Amino acid sequence: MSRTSTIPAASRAPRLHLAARVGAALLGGYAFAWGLIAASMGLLFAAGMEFHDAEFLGSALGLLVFLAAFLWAMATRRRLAVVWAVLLGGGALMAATGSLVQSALV
Amino acid sequence: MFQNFRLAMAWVHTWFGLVLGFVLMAAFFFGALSVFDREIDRWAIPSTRIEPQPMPSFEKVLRPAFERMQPTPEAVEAMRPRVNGAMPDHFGTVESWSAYTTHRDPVLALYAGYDVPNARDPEEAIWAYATIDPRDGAPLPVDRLKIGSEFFYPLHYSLTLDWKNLGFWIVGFSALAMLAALVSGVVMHRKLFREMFTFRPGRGGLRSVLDLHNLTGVVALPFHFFFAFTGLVIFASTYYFPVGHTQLHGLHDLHEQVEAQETGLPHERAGVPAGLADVDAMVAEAQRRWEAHGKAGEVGFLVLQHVGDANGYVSVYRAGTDRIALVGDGIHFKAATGELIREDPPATAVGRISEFLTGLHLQHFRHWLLRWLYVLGGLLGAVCIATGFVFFVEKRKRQHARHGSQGARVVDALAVTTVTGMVMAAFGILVANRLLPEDLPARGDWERYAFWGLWLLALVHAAVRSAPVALGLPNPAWREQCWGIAVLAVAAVLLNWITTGDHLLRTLAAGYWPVAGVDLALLASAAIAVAAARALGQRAAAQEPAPVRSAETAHA
Repeated sequence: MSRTSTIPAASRAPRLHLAARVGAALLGGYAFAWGLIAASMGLLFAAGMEFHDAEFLGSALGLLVFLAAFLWAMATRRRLAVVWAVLLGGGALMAATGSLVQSALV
Repeated sequence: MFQNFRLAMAWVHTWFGLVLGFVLMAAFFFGALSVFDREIDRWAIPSTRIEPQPMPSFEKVLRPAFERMQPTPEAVEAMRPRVNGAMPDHFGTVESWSAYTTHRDPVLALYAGYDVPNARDPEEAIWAYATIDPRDGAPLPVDRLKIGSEFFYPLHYSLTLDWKNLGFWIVGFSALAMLAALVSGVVMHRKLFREMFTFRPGRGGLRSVLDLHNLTGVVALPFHFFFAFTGLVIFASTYYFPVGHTQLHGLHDLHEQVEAQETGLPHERAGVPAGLADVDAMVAEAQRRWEAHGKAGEVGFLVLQHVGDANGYVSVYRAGTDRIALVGDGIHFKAATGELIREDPPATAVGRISEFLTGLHLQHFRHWLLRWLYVLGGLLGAVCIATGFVFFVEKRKRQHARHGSQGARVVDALAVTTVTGMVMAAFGILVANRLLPEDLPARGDWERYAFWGLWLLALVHAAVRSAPVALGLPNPAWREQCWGIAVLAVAAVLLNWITTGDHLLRTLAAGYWPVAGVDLALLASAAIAVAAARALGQRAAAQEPAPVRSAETAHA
């Protein structure tokens, strides 16, 4: 039986895994933040907030969420696949919400 | 991946702090200098060493100056590819005239935007710039580089790297890393309150460096977090997360249409020529209305839109002199008749938060103590990052020497470059500013080359001198570049005296603080640099530690 398959991915090629983790934290975190901003902007604007106010509030929240998502992705012990799924998937869902609101209003 | 949360945060802090720290040094240092950007401009352009002036009369000063303006030949050439057909000799259709000033500006910045006939994009505009003496409208040379507001200031938010906004992205990324470094730093150090008061210089070496790193990080922690965060927020919707311009531009356009209708400010020209009523009366009326609301203030920004057209309007905005929030409080008049179109309504709650956060970062207010505290905060941030580098190298260099690794040497050379090298470049551009011939064409470009060239030289010097670090010894380049800083600083002060006659005794007697302040800051920096160089020299002479032998050579 092959020995390498029983060693966890993180120990097989630690540098590569670390790079992959950083990539997921940054790119996934960015996607998650973008989605949050899009959803916030759409929903706040639809609720009657002035556009640039919604843009500002969404951006401020998005930046803090990016920070949180990034730190979570670096610290979590879950597998990389889970990290990607949460960040990309969550980001995509939220972005879709924003676009949905836009198509309802425009 | 990491055993626990604290270890993960320690890894993030170390490696993101190290890599992005090199960019953050520039953001913090030049950000600190930017607090006094206009004062540095006065030092660099001696013909502008006059007192700050309020916005002058439109009829007497601004209008003749505006009417003289035309885009430069270079601007016309740059526009040519975006136009189908010939470029006119003279741009006659003025989209906007605007004038901008703050309480620290002795000179007035003028902007004129013109319609471009036959342009591919119907909204295309070509711009002309001018700087005038507000007392009489006399034009000031435009090709003088404003080393403070047009070089150090953009350097701190974009590294002046404008290709595809790459510099904005690099600085933005480093700001995010700063936030991560602050949070992870707090996680790593449990005794937060105690660290504010802990500095043990006697312990020497790693302990003292770490104490100073923690102290400078913790003492100004809210400041560091706040500036990185607001810096990101200010640029977020334009550069980092342009959601409103891309994915949700439909909502943006919807909003613009609604707003144009609500405000009554026409977006397009009517195509019908019309005259211009008394703009000075409109400005006076705007100031009267601000006062009526208990917000008497100075004019910061004056804009004339669709000049010469029936749809033309004049907007008067308040300067941010007397409060933190960067309020616009714009009041708009019909250009042809002078009647009021609209007073901008008070900001919404979110709008007030935005104005406050932006105003806190951009500090247009007149409050000298607070501005000096900003400089202190910026310098503390720079010290925090620099001590981080030193700690990184000191912690690892003996171990690296034993294994024959070059890692500590590389980091140390880069650290010298971004700490002492950066200061040398900043002082070097001031020296070049005084040395270059007054009427040298593209003088500003040469000043910039001097800055980058000197910084590059500092890198080469640091790299070449860093061989001892690979043996576990200190890099002599630190000491040598400290001397370099001192020499350049004193040279700048002397050259200012020789080339302009405004030596310290004269500027202090006259109370002309912009120039006296820069000269004093240069001399203070020289004193600190000399003290540092001597301390480093004494330590090097006293210790003479044995170089760490690499494991390989020991075997041979």
